[in-house]
Amino acid sequence: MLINKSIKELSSLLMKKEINSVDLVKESYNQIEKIDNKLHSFITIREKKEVLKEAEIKDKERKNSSSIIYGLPFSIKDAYCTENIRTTAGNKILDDFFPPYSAAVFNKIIDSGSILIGKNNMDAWGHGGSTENTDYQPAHNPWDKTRIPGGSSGGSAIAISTRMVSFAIGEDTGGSIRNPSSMCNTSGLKVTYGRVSRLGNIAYASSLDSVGPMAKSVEDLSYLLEIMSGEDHLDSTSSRTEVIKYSQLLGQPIKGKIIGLPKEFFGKGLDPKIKKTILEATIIFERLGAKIKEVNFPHFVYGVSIYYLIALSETSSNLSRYDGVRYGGQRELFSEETKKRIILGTYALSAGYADKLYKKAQKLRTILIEEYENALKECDVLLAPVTPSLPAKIGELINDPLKNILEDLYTGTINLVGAPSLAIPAGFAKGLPIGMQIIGKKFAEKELLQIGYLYQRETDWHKRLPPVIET
Amino acid sequence: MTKISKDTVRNLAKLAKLNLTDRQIDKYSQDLTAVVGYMEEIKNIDVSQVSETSRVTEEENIFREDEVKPSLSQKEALKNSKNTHNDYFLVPQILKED
Repeated sequence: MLINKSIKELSSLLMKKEINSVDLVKESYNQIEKIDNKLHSFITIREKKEVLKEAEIKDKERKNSSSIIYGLPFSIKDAYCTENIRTTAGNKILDDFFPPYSAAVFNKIIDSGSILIGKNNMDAWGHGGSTENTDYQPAHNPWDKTRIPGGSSGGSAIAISTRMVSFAIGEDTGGSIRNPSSMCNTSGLKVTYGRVSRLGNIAYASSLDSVGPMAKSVEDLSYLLEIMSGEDHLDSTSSRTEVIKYSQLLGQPIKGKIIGLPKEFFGKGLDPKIKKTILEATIIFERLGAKIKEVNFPHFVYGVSIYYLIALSETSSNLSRYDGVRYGGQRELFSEETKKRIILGTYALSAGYADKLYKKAQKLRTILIEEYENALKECDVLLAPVTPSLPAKIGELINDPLKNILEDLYTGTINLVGAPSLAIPAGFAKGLPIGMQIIGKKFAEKELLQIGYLYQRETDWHKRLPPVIET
Repeated sequence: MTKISKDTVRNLAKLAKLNLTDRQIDKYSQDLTAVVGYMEEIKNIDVSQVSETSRVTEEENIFREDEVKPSLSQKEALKNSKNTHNDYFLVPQILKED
């Protein structure tokens, strides 16, 4: 199976003409035809004939100077506008929406020569952590089809873990890249707010939304990040901070680095099996020369409330643009979960409650940012679980409103702070993947990738394939 | 504990331009009461000395020259609309005749 190889290996084989992009694209479609009817990782799959033709052209036009991702098959969460390719954000309102322009991140990947296979399934508008709240078919976890793959970028994580694509672009508002990466045994990076342009990303909550890469390994993520990042004049929140050649800085020792374990992230509500797995990872980090130190986040316990009050207020405002006039269908087509989120956001913003709820949450956001900055004065990065529990059975979360939001306990606060966080595989329990996140200071993607890379050199969790794959 | 009554849900739905069925109003009232009940944990934290954060980017005052640049054509901008008239978007009537 070619797509099991790393971006670097594939690129090298393509350059030496030992393989070609047509082979890779054929493998993508074979895999999709074989298993995606059971997993539903795609909402839209491009016409195979058209894509094969594109691959032939790529093979002909490949140069020595071509990008490392030139000619590789990839997929993108359906939250990104793709010119003349249907873009639904997982919702029937946009069932027949064909964007007149493409997202900035999509253009960067396409300009580097990668080949789009299709648009990945997601919780509608990013509203969920299970890829069940989609108006298309709910997605299934390739490690156990009776369970959720996580979300909201669940389709992208499935496509990577089953090697349908070489990599994918996800989006993370409160955990939407990290959560499915953890549940499907893939690697995903929520970047610093502003590191990657949001232009053309269908907004969930604008002060939290982050564009990020999803892939099989930290090494692959680092190649993608250096291509995706940078300032965009059409996104005034994109950062002018210098883009580093992340891939060239991997492999540096982490001896003497201090890894903080935030005490509150390991408290009530965390599955003991997940706790045990992450504590086992600390032993590997210590072996690599890092020091482990406990740190505190007194207001962390309020994180979910603060996150939801802000995210839902913003989403009720963002989704008000769907009026069916310029594009899209009527508001009746919003799913149940989305209607509930709009109502709750409207409540938090409405006269009489805005001060008590929305503004208070914004003040608490300031406190969280301060606590976070203080913790990172004492250590270089933080190590934490991604989700409190193993992947739930399908139907379990969507029918329990409170349990559903508590899934974002460990991820949502990072978006409130705007910091980067890398989610990577850390082990298994009952045959189900467990991920961990390495969280850093703003624009410290380099450190996160270095630490994650060394961990993946010492372990093989990220190389394990789900049982649904016949190798 | 705050109860999100059916009347509150009905009013919020009107503000958010959502038509809800009686069954939905009933269900949302229950679900939102549970979620808002949980969120009330923030009620008693003292934040009187804290200022609000609405964004986390350090960038500010991003200026550019006011130049005309290529953008979407009228045809492209209108292509996803189901109702157009003389190259305009056609919106539902909101003013009634006397």
